[in-house]
Amino acid sequence: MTEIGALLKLRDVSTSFFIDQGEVKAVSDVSLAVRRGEMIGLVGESGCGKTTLGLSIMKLIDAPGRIIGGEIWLNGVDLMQKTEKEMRRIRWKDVALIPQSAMNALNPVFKIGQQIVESIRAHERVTTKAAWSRTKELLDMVGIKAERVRDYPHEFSGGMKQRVSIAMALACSPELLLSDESTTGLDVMTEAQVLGLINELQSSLRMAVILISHDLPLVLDISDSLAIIYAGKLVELAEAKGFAARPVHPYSQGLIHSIPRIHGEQETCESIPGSPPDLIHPPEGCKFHPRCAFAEPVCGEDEPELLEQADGRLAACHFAERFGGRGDVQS
Amino acid sequence: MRKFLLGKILQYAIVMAVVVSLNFLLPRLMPGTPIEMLGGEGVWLLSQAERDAITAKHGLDKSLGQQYIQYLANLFRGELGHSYNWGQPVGQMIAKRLPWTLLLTGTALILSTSFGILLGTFASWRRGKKSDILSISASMTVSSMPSFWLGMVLVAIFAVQLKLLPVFGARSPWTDYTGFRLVLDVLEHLILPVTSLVLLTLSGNFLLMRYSMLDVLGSDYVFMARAKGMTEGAVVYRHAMRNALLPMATAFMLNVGFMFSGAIVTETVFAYPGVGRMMYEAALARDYPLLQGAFLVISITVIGANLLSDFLYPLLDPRVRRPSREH
Repeated sequence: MTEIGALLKLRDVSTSFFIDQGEVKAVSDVSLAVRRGEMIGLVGESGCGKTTLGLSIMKLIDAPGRIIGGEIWLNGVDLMQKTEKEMRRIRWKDVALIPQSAMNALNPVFKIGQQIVESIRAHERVTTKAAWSRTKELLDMVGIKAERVRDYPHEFSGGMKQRVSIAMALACSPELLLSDESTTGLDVMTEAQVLGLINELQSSLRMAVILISHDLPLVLDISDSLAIIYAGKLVELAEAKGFAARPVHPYSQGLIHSIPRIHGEQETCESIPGSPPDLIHPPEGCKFHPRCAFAEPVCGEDEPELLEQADGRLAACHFAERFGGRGDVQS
Repeated sequence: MRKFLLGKILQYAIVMAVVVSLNFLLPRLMPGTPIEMLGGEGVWLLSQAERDAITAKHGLDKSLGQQYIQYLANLFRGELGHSYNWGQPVGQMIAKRLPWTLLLTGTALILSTSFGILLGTFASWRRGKKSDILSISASMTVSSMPSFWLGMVLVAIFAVQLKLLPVFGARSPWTDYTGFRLVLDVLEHLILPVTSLVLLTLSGNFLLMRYSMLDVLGSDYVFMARAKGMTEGAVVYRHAMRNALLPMATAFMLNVGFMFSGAIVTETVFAYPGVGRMMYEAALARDYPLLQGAFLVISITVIGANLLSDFLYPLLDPRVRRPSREH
């Protein structure tokens, strides 16, 4: 979590969507650092702003949305200072994306090979022939036969399409890869395979990967660190190792306790009561306090800052020390 | 793919057989006997023997089945009967006029589709902005005008008031232009009727293209093209437009038929010597053989155009050309 030498550094990034009903504060004041080769899980409920945060890194926020403030340092360059034209060169070359719905992410009228080749040739001066042969290598890397390079997207199954998307994301060997819920919609077996593939490639290619997911147990094992996001704010930032045993923020505790367990004593798995807050009129104070079992009056008044805890993790809770001190809270 | 083509051909063969049979049956289902149709008002003066002679001459005393076979045989020889009104062979009359209609409707079809694609793409790109709203309102206004009225307004303004273009016809009378001069003369006469037909069909093409573009621009693969750092041009023209054109291909096919019916009104308003105006005149004169012949030729043209676009569509859409193996 040290910021020195970090590949990606976000400082107070805020992104809002301006709709008729008002300003939807999808991401507010997020600061985060990602080291080279780090696998970080960005976890939160649906609508908590995790995808918006991911796309903000690529500056792919469309109207009515806008990044309203903050700095996005990638490789020592602040992307916020870059024009759209300069961003175009950075996208895919330095940071690539495995999209949320790989099913529809491939253009139905072009061969998959063409779509990978064009992303290579948009960024590198290579011959068509070289681009095609690299495309075949990429497909081979994700476990698709090279001869299928001239097939169309509809000729692949869902899991295969996701593999093609991964191959495409690797086309320009980016240092940072965003995986946006990229296994959602796949069956459990395929999901595990695809995630395993991402994990494998991440370590062999030494990429940094941001795994955006709503599914904490899915990313828990393969991530180096975890960023828990709630209502557009980071609430906890911790090492993944041992996180399940000692979540500090009450929201993280809720996420952990909602995981059904196979081993150990029979326990009921608890859901977090209530629903995610309205991001147009977020609650005063801590955004989680209306749903928090430990909320006290101060929680409704002051918004807690994301502060470093005794063990080096960051958490945004007035009573973090209390939860951090006792590793076995509630479990 | 071969199975697909064979299936298509079979499908069109059935359509053709139905059209040809309907064309045979329809006049026979109309009220009154053929004698009344042939003889007109003086028919009551004829004796029974004379009536029988006429009936026999036209082969109408035979059974319906035999008549049908006779009709098909005539059809294969290109024999469509004689016009009651003009006495000329129907085939010849149509052959003389069909090129004009094809020129008119073909030009209008190509222009209407091209403008629809260009304007629709532009409007989708400017979605919600003034120019988008303005072009939607304008196209709605124009398309809500009746085509005969629109035609007359065009004539009144550009031909009568401004004297920029000829008032009617397909060529200037009493001239024997050749070469370039002839082409220019034909084009000059083509402008107003084509404009009228284009205005009639443009809004449909425009709105369809706009909607189709908006749909595609919101799709994940267009978003991905941007994420890949493709240029704006590559995103809009290569990724989005290529897909948005697919429904336009279907619209083009449907417009072929629509253009022919539009041509009836337009050719009448502009006194254009095509099949459309001929049909209008034939209907007024109750010239059944001529009408029947024209219907048949138009039906065959429309079916032919549809067959052609059915063969071309797979070239545009790989999902049709190469149905999935996996699912």
